[in-house]
Amino acid sequence: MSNTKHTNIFKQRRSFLGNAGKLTLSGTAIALMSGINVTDAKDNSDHVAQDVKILNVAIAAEHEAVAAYQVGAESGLLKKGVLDLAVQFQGHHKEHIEALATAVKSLGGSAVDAKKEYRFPVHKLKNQNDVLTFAANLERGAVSAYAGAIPVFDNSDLAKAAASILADEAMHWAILRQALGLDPVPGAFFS
Amino acid sequence: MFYSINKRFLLRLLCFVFLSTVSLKIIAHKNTSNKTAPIANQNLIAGEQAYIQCSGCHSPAYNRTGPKHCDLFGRQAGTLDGYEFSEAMRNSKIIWNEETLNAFLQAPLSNLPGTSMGFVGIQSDRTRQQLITYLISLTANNPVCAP
Repeated sequence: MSNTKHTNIFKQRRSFLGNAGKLTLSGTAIALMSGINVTDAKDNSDHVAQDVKILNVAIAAEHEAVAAYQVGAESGLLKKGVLDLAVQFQGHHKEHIEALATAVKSLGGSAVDAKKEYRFPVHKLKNQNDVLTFAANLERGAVSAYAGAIPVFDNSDLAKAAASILADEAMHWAILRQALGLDPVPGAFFS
Repeated sequence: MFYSINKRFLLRLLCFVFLSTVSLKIIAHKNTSNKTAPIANQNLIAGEQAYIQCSGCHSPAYNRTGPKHCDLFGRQAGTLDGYEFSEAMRNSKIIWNEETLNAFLQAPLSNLPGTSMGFVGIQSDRTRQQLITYLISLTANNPVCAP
């Protein structure tokens, strides 16, 4: 595949993601804000507390992702197109936080705030590929985290919303892999 | 005469059998050792791959959403400095070893209710064992644990 063709496909996917992402995440956010069956959930406070705890772990990880993309964006190592993509993905993570925090509040909990500082292997980021690899690894980890959390949500509405976020993280991972020249979807199953 | 020849023959035969047995045991031990090393290495590599499942929240060398894993073995759960553990973890009195990790990783939430690790667990015995092999390797001597 020539570089031009590769870049065009990359742009097309970005464009697709940009539009589809807005629709999907807005839908998810609305569902999270209004669709959770809180009445049933409150019948079992232990289960609600557990769901809130899981949601807060997800929020903490999303805050970390936002901070990581900020590091990448400010590194000066990203070319214009890739920088735009990083900022777009960072925006998705911010939307995830908003939706998850809304869910926590609807269950009567308090959403965790971002840490004052995060520790990232910044000294290892020497070029654009290092930043993309760093971001891809975070996204891959996020896919696993959501895949491991979805089965333990007591509230199925939360599981559904988390699955929607997982799909977004998986798309990020695939696009980042493609930008690195790797097979964007290296297998049929992931955990 | 006949008796003395037979006796000598019998002694030689016994020596031969003894030496052969010892030699075979040495060869068998060497073969086992040669097989064990690659298998341990394969487990370690597979365990490192399995650790990707943890990488959404954990890193070996530093605390993230979850605590770091370097020097985990032998540590009492919930006692690592610089990380805020759940009350359940702090009060668990668990000492992390192969047995406790195996039980926890299989089903964290039922093994330790109240833990913040909202993860369904690893059902495959083999994958858990491989992951534990990797976690054991995360000592101060491991380059990934370098500060």
